Formats: sequence, C-alpha cells, structure tokens
Amino acid sequence: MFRRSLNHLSDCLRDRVARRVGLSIGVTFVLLYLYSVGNIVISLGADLAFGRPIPGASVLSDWPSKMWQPTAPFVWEPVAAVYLTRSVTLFVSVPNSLLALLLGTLVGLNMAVAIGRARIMAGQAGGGYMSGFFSSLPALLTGFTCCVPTVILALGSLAAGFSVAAIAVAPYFLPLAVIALVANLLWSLRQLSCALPTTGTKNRVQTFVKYEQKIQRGGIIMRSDIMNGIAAGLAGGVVFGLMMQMMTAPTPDGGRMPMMAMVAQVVGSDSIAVGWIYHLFNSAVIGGLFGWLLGARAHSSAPALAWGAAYGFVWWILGGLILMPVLLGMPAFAPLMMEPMRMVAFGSLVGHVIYGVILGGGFAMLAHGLTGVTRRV
Amino acid sequence: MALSRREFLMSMAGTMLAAGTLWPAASALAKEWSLEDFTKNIQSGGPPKDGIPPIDRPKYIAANEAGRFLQATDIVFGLDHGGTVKAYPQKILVWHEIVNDEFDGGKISVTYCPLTGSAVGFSGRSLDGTMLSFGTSGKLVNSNLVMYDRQTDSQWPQILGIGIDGKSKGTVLEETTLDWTTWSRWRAQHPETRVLSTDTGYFRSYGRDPYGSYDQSGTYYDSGGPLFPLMAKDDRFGSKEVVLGVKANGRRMAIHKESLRQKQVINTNFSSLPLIAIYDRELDVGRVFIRELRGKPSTFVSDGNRILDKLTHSEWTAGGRASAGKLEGSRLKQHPSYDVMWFAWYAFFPETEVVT
Repeated sequence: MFRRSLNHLSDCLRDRVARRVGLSIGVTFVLLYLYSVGNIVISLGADLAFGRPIPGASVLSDWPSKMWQPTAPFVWEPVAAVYLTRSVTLFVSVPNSLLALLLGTLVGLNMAVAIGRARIMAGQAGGGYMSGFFSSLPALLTGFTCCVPTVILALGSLAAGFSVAAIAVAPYFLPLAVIALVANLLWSLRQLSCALPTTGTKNRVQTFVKYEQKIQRGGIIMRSDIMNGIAAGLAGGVVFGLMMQMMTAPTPDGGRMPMMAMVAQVVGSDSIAVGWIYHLFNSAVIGGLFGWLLGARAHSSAPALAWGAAYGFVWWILGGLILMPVLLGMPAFAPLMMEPMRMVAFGSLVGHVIYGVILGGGFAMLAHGLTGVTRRV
Repeated sequence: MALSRREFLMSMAGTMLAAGTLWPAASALAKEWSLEDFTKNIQSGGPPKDGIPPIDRPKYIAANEAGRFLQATDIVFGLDHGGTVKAYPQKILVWHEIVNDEFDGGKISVTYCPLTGSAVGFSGRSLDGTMLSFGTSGKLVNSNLVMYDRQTDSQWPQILGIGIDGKSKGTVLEETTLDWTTWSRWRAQHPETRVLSTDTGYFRSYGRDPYGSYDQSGTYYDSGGPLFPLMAKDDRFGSKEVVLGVKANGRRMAIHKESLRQKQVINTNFSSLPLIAIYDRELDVGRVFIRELRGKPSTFVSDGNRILDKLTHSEWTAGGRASAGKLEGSRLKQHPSYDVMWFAWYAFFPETEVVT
C-alpha cells in the first residue's frame, strides 16, 4: 500500500500545474516562516547594519554552543548574520532553516497532492484545496511564539485575555502542525489508493471520478453526526466561554462588564451563571447544526478544521455582530461602528473562530471511526 | 485517535477544572501581597529560560563611535557609579533585558523590562556570600520581567526586587538608580561616557523595537492597557503614566513624575525618612535624596530656577550637590528610585503611598 501511495504521489507531481504551485507555495512558506521567527529582517527606513559596509557578513565565534540555544519553543539562536542591504538582514540559524525546509516541503507536497488529485478528477474540487493550506497555519503561528507580546500587540490589546491562554498551547503548535501536515498527506494519498484499482490509468480515473461523485452526493445525514456535533460544540463552547469570562466590554454608561455578563443580559439576567448556561446551550445547538449541515465534509481532520473555522466566522457575523447587539437593543453591526466596541468585536471574532476550530477538530476526532471507504453509500 | 463521546466530554470537564485553578488570585482590596501571592501569579511570557538572553560579556565603545547607531532622541539608561560613566541604550536592552556588568565595587546587573517601562540596577549576594548574576526566566508577573539568579535558581520579579522562592526567598536586592534619559542629553552632561555596543554575542535587529516606539505616540509605551492579567488595578493615573517608585523599610511610595516636573522639588516624609524628590531639567529625570542637613531634616524650595534649602539658603544642583552658600561642596545622600509605569507599580504594591 505504501508503494501505491508513492506512485500516486509521483502521479500528482508529474502534473505540471500541481508541481509548480506546490513548489511556489512551499518556497513562499519557507520565506514566511523564517520571517516570522525573525531570521529574515526587513525594516524599511532603518539602518540595521549600523554603519557596517554593505553587503557584509559576520559569524559568532562561539557558534557551536549558541546554535542549539533556544529563543522560543522550536526556534534557535542565529549564529551568523548577512547584511544584504541597509533594510534587509538575514540571521542564519541552521536548525531554524532545516525546520523551515521541512515544513515548506510538507506544505508544498500537500498542495501538490491536493491540486494533482483535483486535476486528476477533472474539475471536481471537494475539500482538496482547503485542506493543505489550513494544515499549515499552526506552523506559521509557531514562529511568533518567540515573542508572544509582539503578536498580542499586533492583534490588539484586548486579545491578551485569550492570547495568554494560547501561550500554554504554543509549544505544541509546531509538532501539531507537522503531524497534521504528514497525516493529511498520507490521508490524501490513501484516499487515492483505496479508490483506484491497480489496472490501467484510464480505468483509474473513471473509478476515482465515480467515487468522488458518491461522496459529493452526501446521502444519509447520520444521526451520530449531530450527536458528535453537539459534543464538539460543547467543548468549543467551554473554551470560548472561558475567553469571554476574561474579556470585558464597555457598557453604555461608560463602565466595563465581563463579556459573559453581557451574554446573560440577552436572556434578561445579570447572573454570570445564567450567561454560562445560555452560552453552553447555544454552543451545543450550533455544534449539532454543524454536524447536520457539514458533517459529511468534516470526517477527516484538515477539512474539518477549515470548515469549522469558516463556520465559526459565519457565526461571528450572525451571532456576534447581528443577533447579540440587536437583542441587547443596539443596531446590527454596532460593535464594528463604535470605537470602544471594536476591540470587543475583534476579540469576539477570534473567539468564534477558535470555537469553530475546536468544533471541527473535535467532530473529526469523534467521527474518525468512519473512513471514506466504508461510507460508500 | 478515536474517542468515545463520553471520554471526550469527561476530558473537557477535566480541562475546565484545570483551567479554573490557573486563574490569578486577584483582589479588589488594597492589601499587601505576600511572596507566595506573587509565585501564584507567575505566567509564561512565551520564551524559555534565557530565550531573551542577558548580556554577560558587555563591550563598550566611545561616545563618538556610538553616534553611528544612536540618534539624539534614543532612550539610554545612564549610570555614573564610582567614577565610571556608562550609557545603556534602550534599543539594545529591549532585546536582552539584563546586562550582568562589573564595577570596581562589585557586580551590578542593569535590568530593563520593556512591558512595564522600568530600568533599575541590582546587586545581591547568595547566603554564602557569592555575588549574584541574573538571567531571564521567560516568565512574567503583572507583565513584569521575572529574573532568576544563576547561583541559587530563585525567581526575582524585577519591580519587587526580592527573591520569591528557592534558597534566596526573602532576600532583598540592593538597588542602584539609573538615569532614564535620551542620548543627546546624557552625552551633553557626560561627554566622556562609554556606551554599550551592539557587539553583544547575539544577533538581533537592534534598530527595531518589537513592542512599540518611544519616538511615536500611540504605541504600547504610552497608550492602551497592559497585556497580561494584573493582581490589582487602580485608575488614579493612566496605565502607562510614569511614576518614580521608592521603597524604604518595607514600605512603598510612588511619586507622580509629571507632578515632579511641574513642581521641580517635592518634600515628603516616608516611612520615617525625610525625603526630597528633585527634577533634573537637563536630563529630564527625577531623583530622590534624603533631605538631612547637619543631621536634621530640612525643607527645600525651588523658585523655578534655583533650588535652595531653608536651613542655610545654600544653592543646590539637581544632582544633590550644594553649588553655592554655606554648605558648598556637600552632597545629599541619594535614595534609590526608578521610573515605572503606574499600572505595574500598583499591581505589585496596592498599599503604595502616592505623592503628587
């Protein structure tokens, strides 16, 4: 089976479009990753070289010991500097560069397989395009853990409430990203293998197209999809709820109130406990809805995370920007329009997306017993 | 990995419980925190131990060489100690936070925390008399740098200046005051100053400040709130407003720097010490001295230009030296103080006295 996966991999790579897109996305990822860990520095208007001759380079004398000194989880000290221009400097760290190459290769391969598969199917996209990209997001975020306060500043200070919670998770971003990328690659290749018989290319394509059409048609809405959605929705609701517990929002009279108390006010109460009950109830129902509408697409982890995030985003608009303000007596989209509320709106966006990601990921974990093959309807 | 739904929900319940125990123990009352309270409120700031690496082998250059990377308005922390004059540029320290330096009298660690805008020099000894040198733990409390010492591996929040755990728990560090000023002002007053160079043994983009900018308004350093949870809050002043933090005999006082700028001189009594805060117009710094003349407390006044003492009407410089009159040549004893953002000082010391 492994050799078949390799054959399918080379099939995808033989496709010129898949190869080129995979390569360019892989290279772009390598550059972005090195930029995010501070190994590529671009600062227009500043003189990073402090008067040294350009171009120039220098190497630390104690590089053997410094090379393995971490500045952040999975980020190491650079031991050489290359001053390309006044505004562009490269700080060279061999471990960082190797890690960037590994991640870039995985991202590029995932993209190439997704595109190759799509093109082999002659136009039917399915979840292929999204999965490769969204698997690689965690790895980019890892680059920022070297200076978490910097990221928080970039996101806006209200984000601190839940970004602080994110610090505990940050060391796991990178291994999770690598695992997700490898798993998605193997999964995509295996789906190709299982669907295609070993005889003749033309037969392979036809059988594969028929297989994908069956998946697209969806078919039975599994009752277990709804139950899994409810469970995963509760999990996402707990995390989102904790964030709202820590965030405060400005009240019309100029004070500040914890977000969870504002949630309670939607049902006419001031009690935080009531806010929690109402919030968790919503999380469960909305999670069940996810299972009903999108369950068929969310059985493997990478598309599930992507659909979950998109779902969370839509609910931010529906719930956070429209329903909640209206139920509290404010106009729709008010949080975006009033200056002090904008930070809250932004925090709510991140919270909803995190809810969606946990919903999608949890759903996929629970639904994992079903593989694409046995779901043949 | 396939979980049954029950296992899944139980693990979420467990996570909730665990998350509940991690919340900071915040209090609304103006109580004094114990060392254990600080230990409980330590948070990870992101980097591992010494991920923000202290400078252990600082190299210095002459003032005219420093012009290559220092602009006139760049912040420097000036230290004039026992005949040695050094300037530590903020744009270097923002990437290292600690310089373990040596002076004739022993070791002084120059420490700077960007998130709380506090720069202060520390010296300390372990129980067996060894001088301590410090590293960054990568952790924060009240957004403030938590240092660790390399000799006993205890933790020391910078604003607190006391070991909160380990073998050095309860040890109080000796503070050395730094002058938080700009390069052009420091150089004008100390043309012979040496300057910390960018040859630190690490590669960083020293031209760039990752947190904000002291040159533009509207960035972290002068607007918005703190980034990490606080143990106590108070809105007597804006979060990022600068106060001079003063400690004596276990008590704490904050002198509002803008008020000091307006008044030039503030006489106060603090913890049975007669103190005076004097504003130095040339460097734009405030310093605290013990206002005792001939063994007795004395009051000082400023007429806008000169500083005079009421006892002998001698004239005093902003550096605490009598420049004219009966006491010419005498010096006031300086009491340690450091600039710090109000939100951080209050979070550490909700019992603080306030002087405006």
